[in-house]
Amino acid sequence: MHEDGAREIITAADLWTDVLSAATGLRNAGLHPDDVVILIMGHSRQLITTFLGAMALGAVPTIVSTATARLDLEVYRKRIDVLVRCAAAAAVITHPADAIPLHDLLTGLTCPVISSDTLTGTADPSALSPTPSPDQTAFIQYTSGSGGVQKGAVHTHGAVLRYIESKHRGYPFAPDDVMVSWLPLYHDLGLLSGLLTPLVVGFRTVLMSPLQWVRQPGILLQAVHEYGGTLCYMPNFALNHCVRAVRERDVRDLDLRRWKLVTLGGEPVRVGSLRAFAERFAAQGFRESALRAGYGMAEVVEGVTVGREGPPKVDWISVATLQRDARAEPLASTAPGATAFVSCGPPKDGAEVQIVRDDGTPLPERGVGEIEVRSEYMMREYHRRPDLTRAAFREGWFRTGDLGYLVGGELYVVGRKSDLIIVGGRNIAPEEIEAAAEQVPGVVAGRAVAFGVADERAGTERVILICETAQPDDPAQQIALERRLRRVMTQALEITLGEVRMVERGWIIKTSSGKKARSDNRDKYRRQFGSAPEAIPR
Amino acid sequence: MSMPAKSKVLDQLRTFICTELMQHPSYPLTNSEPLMSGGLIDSFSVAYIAVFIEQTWDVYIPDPELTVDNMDTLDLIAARVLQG
Repeated sequence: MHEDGAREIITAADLWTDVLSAATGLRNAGLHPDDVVILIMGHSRQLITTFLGAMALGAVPTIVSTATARLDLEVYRKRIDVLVRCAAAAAVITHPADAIPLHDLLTGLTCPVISSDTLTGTADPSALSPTPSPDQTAFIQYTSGSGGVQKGAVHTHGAVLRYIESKHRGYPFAPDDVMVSWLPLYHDLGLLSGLLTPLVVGFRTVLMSPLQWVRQPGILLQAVHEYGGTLCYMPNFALNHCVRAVRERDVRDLDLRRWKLVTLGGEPVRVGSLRAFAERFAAQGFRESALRAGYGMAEVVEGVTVGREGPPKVDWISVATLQRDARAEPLASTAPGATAFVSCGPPKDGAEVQIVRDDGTPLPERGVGEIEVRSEYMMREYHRRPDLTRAAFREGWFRTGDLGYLVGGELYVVGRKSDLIIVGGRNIAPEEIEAAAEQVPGVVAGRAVAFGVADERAGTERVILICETAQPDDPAQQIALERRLRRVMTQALEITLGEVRMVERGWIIKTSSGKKARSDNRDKYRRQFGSAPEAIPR
Repeated sequence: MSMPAKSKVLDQLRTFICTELMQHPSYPLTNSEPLMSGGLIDSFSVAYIAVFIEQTWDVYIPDPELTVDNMDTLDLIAARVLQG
């Protein structure tokens, strides 16, 4: 589905011809097997065929988000420059129809920048690499980690195929299933569910522009109706966005009865979001039992657990016991101090989950600790970062940095150990926000702190930025500084701040070693500015 | 429905954006201040503003017009509301 309303149907035969042409074009452009190729191609047919074409050549593609109009293009250029160097990329491929003329912008990087319309040549089967071995790299999935480090999860063909097989065993897809996806293909959920699973298993998929869906969320439901959509994977906030922003007249006559599976992942799943979505679209035939919560991350290809069939299971527990004893003690839903978590289900076939103390020893059922995972489809490593790879594993288990507990073999995710902020399925490192804030004149050097707080209405987190300034009591100065900070965050990081607070010098709490204690600052912010307390321990 | 004065439309939009979207009721939002490109609200808000406009003035803005460029200031949004 194109943004201008045009529809393009791509058959498997068309796709194969295009993939062969793309592989040939990439080879003719001088690319070789094992070369890392960065694809910045927006929402386009060519993105799909170039991604698959690069793999067919034996090269290693990675998809990166395109620049948006509000982003500072110089900042974007620097970001791509850093990525090209870190990934030791052999080429960047752009798309000629991109709204921003990226090809010109990126010229001069340490690797060639190639517009996809110049990838030419008669489709030549000799461009295809021999059938890859299971251990050969298929693609790299970049993800943002703590400290703002870009980490490229390297996935082998074997891991990706084992993952899709496991997913198919857990939920047997039928040939008449139809996936409907608005997710970008640079996100693991979008790539695996929107493209690769339908392709490997063999059923139809309907892809739309993520940027368009953001402004017009009704197109997702219209696509489900129009194409008889049965499946969808998306982060929790997308439920809230549909509830709040889909206009009644856009959905009044839609039939959503065929929609039998909406799997949520990429960020914590919230009870209120599930209920609100099911209620809002019940009149169109949507059933709450179609909703399912899952848990995963780019490092395990996509997911490690998924909820069982039926309405999502909800566990009501005591906030006090959770915070005091790191234990999930059951409590009646009507009792004061009860909070709810949604089951993300048991581990998928081929995956294991354990909850551990800080020293790595496993916790009993209902004990809250770090979630560690192990699976047959784990990433091989972080690309060119053996240091990060070593730190990510403990005795073969991947340390997720998330906090959770197990009940009856099902996983409940309650929060995060790290300070990473997740807004709408996107990971944001607070360090990046703080560093950008401290460049803004008026903010005291080294005295900005950023963290996330739950935003129940949006179904995700809001970013709070607190800055020390010399004139915290001058309203005109404060507003001028707030405007500068907001503009910088959107232009440099594509982040919209939920709230900006200017405080007097010395307000921000630092640890004895001078590091910012973000959870202490979050607690202080709540006490001082009256935001509702959050159940999730940090 | 007869259309209200532009100043009234601007004020209602301002209250909605500052209170509901920014959650910052005292923010002194000006008519020409860039909303999305200035980082005050995100591009998801385009859709919330469209819902608000339909509920308040019964004006339906078709999907293709819901872009950041078309709705980046109070002035632009109010002008579109007054077109009906």
